[in-house]
Amino acid sequence: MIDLLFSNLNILTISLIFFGVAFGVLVSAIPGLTTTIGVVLLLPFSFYLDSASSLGMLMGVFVGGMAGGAIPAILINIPGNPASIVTNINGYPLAQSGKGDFALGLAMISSTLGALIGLIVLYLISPELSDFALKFGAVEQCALVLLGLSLVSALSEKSVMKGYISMCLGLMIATIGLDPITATPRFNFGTVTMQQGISFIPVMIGMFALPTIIESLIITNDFKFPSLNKNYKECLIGVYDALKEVIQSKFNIVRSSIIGSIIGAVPGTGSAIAATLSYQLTKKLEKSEDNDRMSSQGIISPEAANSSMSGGALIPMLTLGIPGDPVTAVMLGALTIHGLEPGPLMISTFPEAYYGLLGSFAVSVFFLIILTLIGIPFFLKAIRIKTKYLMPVIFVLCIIGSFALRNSMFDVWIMIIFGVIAFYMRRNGYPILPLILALILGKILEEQFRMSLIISLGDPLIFFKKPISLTLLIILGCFLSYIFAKFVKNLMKEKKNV
Amino acid sequence: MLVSLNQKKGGKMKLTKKIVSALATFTLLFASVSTNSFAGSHAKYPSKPIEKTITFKAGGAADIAGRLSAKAAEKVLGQPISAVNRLGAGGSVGFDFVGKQKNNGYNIGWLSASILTTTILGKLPYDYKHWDFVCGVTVDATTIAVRADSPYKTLPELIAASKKNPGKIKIGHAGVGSFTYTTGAVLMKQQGANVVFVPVGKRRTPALLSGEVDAISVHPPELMANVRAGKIRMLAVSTPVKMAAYPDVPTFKSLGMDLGFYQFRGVFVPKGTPKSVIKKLSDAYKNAASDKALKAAALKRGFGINFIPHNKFPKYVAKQDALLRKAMASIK
Repeated sequence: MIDLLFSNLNILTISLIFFGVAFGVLVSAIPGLTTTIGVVLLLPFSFYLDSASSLGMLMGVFVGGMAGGAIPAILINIPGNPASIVTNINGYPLAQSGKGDFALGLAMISSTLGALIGLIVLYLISPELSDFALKFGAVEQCALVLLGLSLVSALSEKSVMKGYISMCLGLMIATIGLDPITATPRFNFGTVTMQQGISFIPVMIGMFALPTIIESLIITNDFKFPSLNKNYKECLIGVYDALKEVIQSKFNIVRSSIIGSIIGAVPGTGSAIAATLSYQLTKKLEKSEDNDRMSSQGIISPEAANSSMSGGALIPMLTLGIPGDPVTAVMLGALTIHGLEPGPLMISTFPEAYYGLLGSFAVSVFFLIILTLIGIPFFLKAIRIKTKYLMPVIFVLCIIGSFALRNSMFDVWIMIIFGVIAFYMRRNGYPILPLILALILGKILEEQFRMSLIISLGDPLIFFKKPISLTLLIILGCFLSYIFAKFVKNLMKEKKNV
Repeated sequence: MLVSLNQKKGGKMKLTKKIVSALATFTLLFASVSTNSFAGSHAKYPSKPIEKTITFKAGGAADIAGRLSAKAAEKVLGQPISAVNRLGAGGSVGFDFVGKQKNNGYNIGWLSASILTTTILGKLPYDYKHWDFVCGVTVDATTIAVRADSPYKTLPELIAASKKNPGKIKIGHAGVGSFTYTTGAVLMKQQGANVVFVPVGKRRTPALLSGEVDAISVHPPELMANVRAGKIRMLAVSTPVKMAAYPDVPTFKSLGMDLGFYQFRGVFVPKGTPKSVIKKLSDAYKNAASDKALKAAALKRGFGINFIPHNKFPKYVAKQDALLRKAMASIK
């Protein structure tokens, strides 16, 4: 089997994988363009290439894409794609304090390690994990989503209450569009365009990017991104420090990567959920007095999780023929164009293609670490571009990104409207991340909750009868009582002070 | 006057005003960009590339059929057809979009019977007469499928079992209003079966494999890998004739359960597109129907080819609309 891994490789495949990784990093580093768009853009080329080269190239985009989003998240506080929606929380402040090289190093090294662990999981236990992931039916997904929502407090460090308000707003917005069970139009003001609901990608692009653009262009004339006046060698020292930090956080890496792989393998989830959930858990589980330490953990965790997710998402695609996320859905199309049939028979009928795909994954990981490590000083240089030139470019890219998602002008307006809302939310101390997370999770929650009740013929006890969902609900109960106890304690303190 | 007033207030007011004026500028920019100025003449059609809206996801069987048929039609037309995926709300967004384009033959769409189901359900505020129809190209079966280890070997067995144990058998589907749900629901209703329909959405195959549901009502292309692996068994298909890709599966018709409406896929254009243009497009797509690549894809992915020319297709659509309207009213 090992010999099959690299049997497909020749100069063309290797150079296409290299191109794929570079393209993936670039596309997802551009705010507004997601990894999915990157894969869709390259899909037509795969018609003209042989299967090994074209799949290697797409694999490269997938692996590179999961890492690239962290670059703008850390440097300009705008996540490049959904996979890095939590990376900026700790990454941007680090960059502001002059440690951009260190933060980027953390992100890139944990991404690489995460991808590596995802690959190992894929290679060793993909049939087993796909069976386990199948157990995540409606009931289990419902419990998982509830857990994710209840941990929203971890995303709102300043005010827990404002975090929950923002979350509720997101849940309400998630109800716009066709209702998932009976397909009844809701809150669409009688229009056809609003039947599709509010997609989270334009909301994400707008809410992260526009406030920064408004701030830099209209409000403060002396707005500047944190730039570094370090030479190449000094940057490498920062990266070396990051490597040491990552090695010390091996438990975090392994935990986040396992969470990422599992969530990736559950069909219907995605990189944003993998990153956020492992970030929330890290914030709740890791206890350290050292603030720097905690913020490093906050970068390591989501980046390891989103990269390992790519390995996980390939599992149901290759073993069941069911895509685990939007990117693998496009890859599934590419595989079938070349006459390959991902599914239970993939390993036995097309062993060369199957292991070849894993081999190109491994090569992609190798290129990823080389490309990003060499690239870090250049990424840091890129933000020295004057804001008056940089911002209009970002704005145009945001428009293109929102439009490209569904080729719809409606999404562009959504991006702008939510950008303005986010601007005011940010000024008044309301965190925006809970809103975006609730928008993603709210749709899944409603659909899976109602579906569970249809399956159980209306019996709500079904949530406690299944082992996985029961476990998740017990964890949820513990967290909620912890939060409540803390809330009461604070209340008592306040009363005493009065 | 207004400006000076605002300036005096300063502070927050100023900020809001700045944002508003910035937004107004963007609005003007967009307005100027999105107005389409080119009208074009049909003297020599086609004289420039054609845009084909595909209302299905990139990479899926329906999308592949739409793209391969466009490629074959290009060869006849001598102009490229660029395929653009416009998704959302079960196809409504794409159908609506095509209806709003210029009717000069340079904006065409790739439809399915969903163009009828969405209008019948009132998701679009008009009916099928809102568009002109060019030709039918491919056809997809709807199948009722079970796990390989399921006790039900045939469709009549499944229906009989549901009558014995009312509400025990659960059938998963993409969502209420989807074509595959309509087919399954009408079939079960006509046969007097007592089953529970579960809208499992995108997780159709996982839900069947994990045992959350006992059967699913879907299009075969999404099942082919698992069917070939012997994990899933198709009980019967809705097409009037057996499909080349799975010749062993009986049709509803052979079991005496014909419904009369089918998942046809083809080409449509905005209302009022010149007749000569429609004929030219239909002739070009006729070439697609015998295209090697499309035939190979049909066999591999599990859909069928059924060309219906421009002089018959509008009538076919009207008949399907009447049948579907009646069928859907029966399961409301």
